[in-house]
Amino acid sequence: MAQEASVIGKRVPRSDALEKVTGKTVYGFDFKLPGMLHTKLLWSERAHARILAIHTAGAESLSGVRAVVTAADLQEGRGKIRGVFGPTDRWLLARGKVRFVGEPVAAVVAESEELAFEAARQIRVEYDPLPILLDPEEAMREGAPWIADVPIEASASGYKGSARNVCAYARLRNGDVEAGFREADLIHEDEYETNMVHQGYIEPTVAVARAEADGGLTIWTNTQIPFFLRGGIAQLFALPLTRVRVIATHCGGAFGGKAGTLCAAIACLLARKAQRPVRLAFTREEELTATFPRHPTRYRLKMGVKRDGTITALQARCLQDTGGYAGEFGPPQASKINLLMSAPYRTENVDLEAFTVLTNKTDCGAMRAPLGPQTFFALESHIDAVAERLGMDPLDLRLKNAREKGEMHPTGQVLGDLGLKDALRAVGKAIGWGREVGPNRGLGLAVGIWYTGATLGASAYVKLNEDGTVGLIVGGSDTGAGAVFGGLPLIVAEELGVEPVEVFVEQADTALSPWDSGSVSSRTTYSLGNAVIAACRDARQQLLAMGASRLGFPEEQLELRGKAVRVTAEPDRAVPLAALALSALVSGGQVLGRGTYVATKPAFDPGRWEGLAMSTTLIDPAAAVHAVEVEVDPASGRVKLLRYVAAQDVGRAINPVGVEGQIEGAVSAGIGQALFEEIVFDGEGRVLNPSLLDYRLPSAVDLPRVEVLLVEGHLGGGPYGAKGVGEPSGIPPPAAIANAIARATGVRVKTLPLSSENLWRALSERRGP
Amino acid sequence: MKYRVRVRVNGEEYEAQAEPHLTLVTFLRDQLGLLGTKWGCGTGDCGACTVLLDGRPVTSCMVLALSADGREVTTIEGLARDGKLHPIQEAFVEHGAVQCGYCTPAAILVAKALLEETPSPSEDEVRRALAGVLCRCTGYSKIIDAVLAAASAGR
Repeated sequence: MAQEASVIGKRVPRSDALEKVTGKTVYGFDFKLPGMLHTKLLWSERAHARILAIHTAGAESLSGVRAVVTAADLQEGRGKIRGVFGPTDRWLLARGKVRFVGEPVAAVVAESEELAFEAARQIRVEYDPLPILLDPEEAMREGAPWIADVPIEASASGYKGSARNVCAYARLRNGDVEAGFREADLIHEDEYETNMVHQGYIEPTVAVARAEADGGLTIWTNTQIPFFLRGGIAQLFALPLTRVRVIATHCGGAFGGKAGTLCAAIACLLARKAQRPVRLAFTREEELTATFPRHPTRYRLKMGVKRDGTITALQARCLQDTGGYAGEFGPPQASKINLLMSAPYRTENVDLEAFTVLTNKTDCGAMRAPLGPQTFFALESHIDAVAERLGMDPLDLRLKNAREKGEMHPTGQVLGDLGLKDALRAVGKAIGWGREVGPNRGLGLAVGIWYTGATLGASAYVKLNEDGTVGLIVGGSDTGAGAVFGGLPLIVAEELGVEPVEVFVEQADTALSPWDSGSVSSRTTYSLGNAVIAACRDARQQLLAMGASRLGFPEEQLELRGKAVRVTAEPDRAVPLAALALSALVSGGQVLGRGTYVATKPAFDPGRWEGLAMSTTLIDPAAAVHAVEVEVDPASGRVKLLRYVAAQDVGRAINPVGVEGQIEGAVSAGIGQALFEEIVFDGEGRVLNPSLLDYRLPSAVDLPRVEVLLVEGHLGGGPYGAKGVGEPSGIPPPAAIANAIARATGVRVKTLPLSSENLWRALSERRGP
Repeated sequence: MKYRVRVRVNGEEYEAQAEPHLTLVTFLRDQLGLLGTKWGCGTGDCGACTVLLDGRPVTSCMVLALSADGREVTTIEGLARDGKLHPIQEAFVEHGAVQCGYCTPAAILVAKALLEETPSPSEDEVRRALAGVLCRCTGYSKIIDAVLAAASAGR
């Protein structure tokens, strides 16, 4: 519909800002029901042990304790957690053995939180310790104990080799990598390692569950995935789907960490047993020990280049340490590593292998651009090192090899409109690439490529209220990112000619909302936005038909603007939406619009994949390119970020203030991962720093002002050409900062985080004893 | 054993019975129903539960309710007057300083305390004032912009 965009691209406050600044928003953590009981989980203190017995009598005998549950309370033949990608290898409560410190073994509900804590302490578990495997390479070694107790089948993992504890394997091959290396003038090989970091949302994960009279369950929770959660809970308890109702509360940040089912499922198990409403909220210690952090990884990269910088071959082997379980998000990521590794730079010859490996550490999950920061820390550090060895400028080397629209990715997919080159140039210009910087200073840059997870569906309803305002009902939930409350109102306003403040959005209640696949994968504004456009156009057709008969003009000569149907050529001839809305109630019926959207998966060549290929294509690949100027104190290894420029290929910014906010937030978490965040384990697999004092998130004094450059025009398939924006800028910070440090000091640190301590060690090694 | 606590919250006198170990955050949230004071960690590290105690920011999970006896507490619910937002609240809305909003009440209260003491702060002073309130969504730039804008509007 070739209409001039009037609201799209404007800086509009999000519709929930007012209630949030006044403290009126009810988050999941604030939600209460009368008679609600409180929960405490008993977490495993062992990283790997057989459970011989669980003694719950002491807890059950306490007055005010209403129920205690263990794996024995799980239904026969059920009890495995089921997530977005189907059934997993993990029981809701540990059954037979524990595989990491923090795995829930039992749970207790009581009249008060204090009592629940006390009761959990009274539960005694007898363990028979097993050898603890904390290192993925140790876990893969011949003769290593099977963490899953039995060899993992090739049919489940895609892996046919002899290494142990590999729960997913994917290989992407194209061309002839050996021929590519023979053709090269320079071959560079190196290894990189990344840290386990946490999503760090400030509101803990929480669920309130109520068992209904018909055996069903109602759950209020700060989830990212209301409909998948409904399916997972129904499956777990053998309930008809519609006996489970999930109501999304406001959410105080998620970043992938609230895309699981564990918290709500345990609350449901207890609510069924106690027959009272049950609240389960994770403590911060539990969050940092036992929820679903970012996978630590190891990469070995080998790249061949010609003297002029042409990349002739890329070979990589990645170990993704998934912790005690493949879990809800382990297996899909192996192929994603290969997909991302081969995305930005042109090369025919690739051989990329990724192994997802079990260890006795925390069950890792999904965090903002899962496997993005890890893969690009390796690739982008590597390409800078190659540039140095070639004596070539790192920006020039990237520009020389950067892929563009229409090129073929090694999977056989023809790429969409990628703005990588424009983002590289924009960042180079903004930071003054090539300029002289002072002593101990350096400029660094790095690329990240991400995509929009649009292959799962979205749907929306709109209704025209009697006063001409618009109600929008969606099955998505706003994690805080603003896609639902900051983006969708603008789309409705644009399509129906109302003001954004005249759009009232209701987020997911699975009993009322149409289906949506969740606030994940940078897809909400994109997919749900497209569904909203379709719903609005449905309503709009009805309004134009009504306007045509009222105004006596054909529909083609009418438009929706200023809360009325108007004659385009004579805007004063108009009939207000409110009048149409009212008359419709007695003649013809209320104006309701419905819309759905599912992206078409791009074609690719499955023959190039081996193993478990779950993430196989890049829908609307988007580039984030960051440049940073650092100053390193050689005496302490302390890194100061003097300037930070982030360019992102966004297609079209629907609400720039929200897009900038996404980029700034992604950069800040990326800087945290780069410089100091790390979940640290001792030799027994216990987390040593499970508090926000010892696990530091960046504060206002740690971060520079991020200069954001929105690269528009390389359009995607989202509303008005938008691409997914939430994740790409979480990817480049570790590599950009590592590259800047290398140029400031001459020392390349290949292990994250680039903390003062690690950098000081690296500088000291170079200085010698 | 409970003790009497008398505290002025957002200009209103409250008298209640509290156990000695009851924290101010739980008192505000569970006894007074002031849910705008957020719970994030319970160990004084994230700052989400920040309120003003006699005008100074404190993490209310680290303050016992009884120690607020005879003192004045300001929570986020006490800022807007007669349906009109405080200028700092307005600036937060205008500048996109709110994303998930879970740290927003704390950040606004810290800003209020700062601007009362330092009406024209530098960016650095704003950063230092906000250092105790963790935000994972925004990267702080838009929060800082909002505080600076509220400061210049107040001049």
